[in-house]
Amino acid sequence: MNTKTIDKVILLVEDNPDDQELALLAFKEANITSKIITCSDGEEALDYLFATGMYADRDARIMPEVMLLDLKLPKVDGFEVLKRVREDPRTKLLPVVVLTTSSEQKDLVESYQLGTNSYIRKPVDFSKFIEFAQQFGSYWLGLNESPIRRGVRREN
Amino acid sequence: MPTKLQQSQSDLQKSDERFRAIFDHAADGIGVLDNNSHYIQVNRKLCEILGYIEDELIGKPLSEIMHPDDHGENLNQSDQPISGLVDTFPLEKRYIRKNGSIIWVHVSTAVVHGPSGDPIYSISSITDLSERKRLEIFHSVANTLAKSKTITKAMPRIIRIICETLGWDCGAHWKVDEEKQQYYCTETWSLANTQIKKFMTYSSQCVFPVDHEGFIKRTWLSNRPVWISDITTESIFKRASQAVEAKLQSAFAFQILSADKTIGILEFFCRNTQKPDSALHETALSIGVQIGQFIQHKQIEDAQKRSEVQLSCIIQSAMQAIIMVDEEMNIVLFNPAAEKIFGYKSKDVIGTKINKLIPARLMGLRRNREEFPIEASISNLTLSGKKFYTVILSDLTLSLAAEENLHLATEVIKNVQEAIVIINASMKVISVNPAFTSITGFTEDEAIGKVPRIFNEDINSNDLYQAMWSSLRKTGHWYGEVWDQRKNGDSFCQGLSLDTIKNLYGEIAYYAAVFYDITDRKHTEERILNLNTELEQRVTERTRQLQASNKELEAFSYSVSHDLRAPLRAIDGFSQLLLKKYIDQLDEPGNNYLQRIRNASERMGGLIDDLLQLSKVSACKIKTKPVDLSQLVHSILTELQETETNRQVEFNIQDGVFIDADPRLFRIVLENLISNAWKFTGRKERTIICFGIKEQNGEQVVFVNDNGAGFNIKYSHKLFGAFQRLHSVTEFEGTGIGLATVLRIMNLHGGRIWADSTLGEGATFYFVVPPPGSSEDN
Repeated sequence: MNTKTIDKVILLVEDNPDDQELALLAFKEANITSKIITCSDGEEALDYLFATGMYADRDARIMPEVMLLDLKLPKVDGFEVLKRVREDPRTKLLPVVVLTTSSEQKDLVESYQLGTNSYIRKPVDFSKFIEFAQQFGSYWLGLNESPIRRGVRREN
Repeated sequence: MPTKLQQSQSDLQKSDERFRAIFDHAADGIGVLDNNSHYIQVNRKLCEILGYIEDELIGKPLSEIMHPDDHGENLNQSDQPISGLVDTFPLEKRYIRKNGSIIWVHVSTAVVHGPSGDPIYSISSITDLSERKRLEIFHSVANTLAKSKTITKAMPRIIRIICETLGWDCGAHWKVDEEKQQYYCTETWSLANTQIKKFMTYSSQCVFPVDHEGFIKRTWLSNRPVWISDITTESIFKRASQAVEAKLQSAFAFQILSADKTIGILEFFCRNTQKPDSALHETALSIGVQIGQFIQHKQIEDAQKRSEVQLSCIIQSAMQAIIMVDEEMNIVLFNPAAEKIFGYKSKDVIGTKINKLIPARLMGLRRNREEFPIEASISNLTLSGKKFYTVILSDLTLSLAAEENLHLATEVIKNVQEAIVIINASMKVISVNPAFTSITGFTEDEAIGKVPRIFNEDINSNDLYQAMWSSLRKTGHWYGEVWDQRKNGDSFCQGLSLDTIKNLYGEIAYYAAVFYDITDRKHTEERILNLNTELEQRVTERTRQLQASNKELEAFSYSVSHDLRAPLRAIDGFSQLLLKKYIDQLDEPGNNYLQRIRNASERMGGLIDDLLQLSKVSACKIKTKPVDLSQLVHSILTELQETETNRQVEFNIQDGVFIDADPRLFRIVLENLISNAWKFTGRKERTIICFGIKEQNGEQVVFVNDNGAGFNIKYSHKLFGAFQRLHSVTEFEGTGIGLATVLRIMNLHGGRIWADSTLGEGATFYFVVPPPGSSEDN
């Protein structure tokens, strides 16, 4: 068990229920115990981040440690979410990892242009996905210092 | 018998009678004057000359008769010492007649002395000099006119002669300007007196309209001289105030007549009061006629001289030979053209017979014995009773050459295939050639006199018309393609060339229109143009379709890459979870099935990746640059070795193999070829993979060779087709898309790929990529 990861929240934006389930299982296999919030489309993700709509009651000051963002999403797609996140001062510094099936060069370039911190292609092989989950957890929840979390602590 | 005294008295009486007779009938005027110079006796002639009757003259002092200016001379002379009985003083003097007019007389005075030697009386004999003066004037005027080159130069001298002879101070010559209908002063003369000169200068600047009453007009129209005794009281004299300033008193003017026509006026002025004088009138009239005649003669003479000069010029400068012969056919005149044509100098042939030069009819003979054709005209004239013949002849040698040229030009115009139309300056056709008729169908008679369509402003478009004229004006030339109609109504296209043609004086007098029928060519051009347009449309359409299908393909592969893999992940993921967590609840076949599900999903993942790559390769544009293939091969093999570290592999890689190609696409090519070699040698104990370049049939061929399973050469045609596999999946895994992708890349580069193999012993893949530039030509 990695105690460092206990309090941290991961925001997973993924529309495919199979992928949602597999991701959760993979994180579990990788021993990541952080709370994982799942949003099934871009609109829901934005509602969560800015505490609007169905998340209006949420404490907007608590930001996820990292957001895992699929690009192909219903309603508001991943690029739009990324754009809005980077435009808003509250989420401007939020670490975002694009997690997508697309191997298109232009998707990769556009994601980085819009300000993603990382771009990961979903592997077909589930065992490789577990490997990803382990590396993801140890890097983003362990090694990496998040600007968001520090900002919140200072306010408290 | 009479006594001596009686005799003496009688003699004296007789002598006195004789004297009386002589005295009374003398041709000269004779007066006897006493010591105080009063007339005591006058004869009839004297009365006649001076205009008095005898009684009026008797007792009159000479001083009243004599012109005041001439007094001194007379008085002095009477004081001179006297010797002998009679002294005579012949002198020319002016006497004043009863009517105030002046008369020039020759005076001869004899003084009779008494026995004591004192003068008793004098006898003065006068001769009227008017006639002599007139003759003197005529003589001087004639002399002046003869010596002067022009009337203008002669006239001031003539005025001076008249002034000096007749005692006037200044004078002017007036003429009429027919065009402006006014009199103007041409020449003047005056005494060397500033005031008088000033008046003359003023007069010379005056003009008087012919319809305005005045001194000049009156004189011009009058048959008599016009006299003004006092110009200050004469209203017709317009220059009165200026004349008064010059202290001039009297004016006198008369006509210069030529053949009863007034050709000029001479006017004179003097400071004295001069009374009209009928004798002077007569003199003036005859002087006027005389001058007129002189002027006329002078003019005729000048004209004759001019025409002589002109004739001489013509003869000297004529292009034609002019030869004059006398009755004996001896040459008397030989002009420069004749010298040039015949080759003889004038001095060599003058006096010789003309048949030396013209031996035969209408043939000339040059000095160098060359015969030449001539054209001659002969005229005769009689001079001083002798007959002369003038021969004017032209050398026809050049004319014949010109005729030959004309003949040639005519033949050319007649025989060329191009229609030739000559148009005059009024835009009417004056000549057409046979080609015109054969192209248009219009005969010569139908065309001549018509305005060609190209010159018809109504028929042609304004732009064409303006462009044509602009070009003709600027360059004298225009070319254009013009549609016209044949006589039968068919349209045809002319390639029309228009040129301006100048006449001998350099004026644009003709237009030459030369055209040929370009209808067939025009139709062919149109067809080509239409085909091109159609082709362009087709290409545009194709391009549009291609762009559309490329778009569709992009959308498709995007969708595939996202959506097709998602279910695979689920299949793989959940199968693995089953195998991991529920292995206890599965028997051996169940376990096997799950494993096969996983293998299938993995293969499908590979298939999807390869398909995506193939589609991307088809859609992409290549960017060529030098690529180090050897280095690529090394890096690919290194990656492969890392996946299977336990294999025995021998590489044989030629270094420095470069080609011009798209680096990203050639990495795909080599990945496929090398991984194939890697894969198909998997069952060999020892793997040998070779890479290099060699010359084959003049081309640089790159090759990848292995010692693997190889393939049956009879299936080699299937090698590069998509989804074509020559081995079973259980033998060698693979999607059958890799080599199809390689082939596509080769095609994009304009290159070729082929393979050779012996089953079980290995395979060799060869490819050729043409250098950049040459592929674009294909």
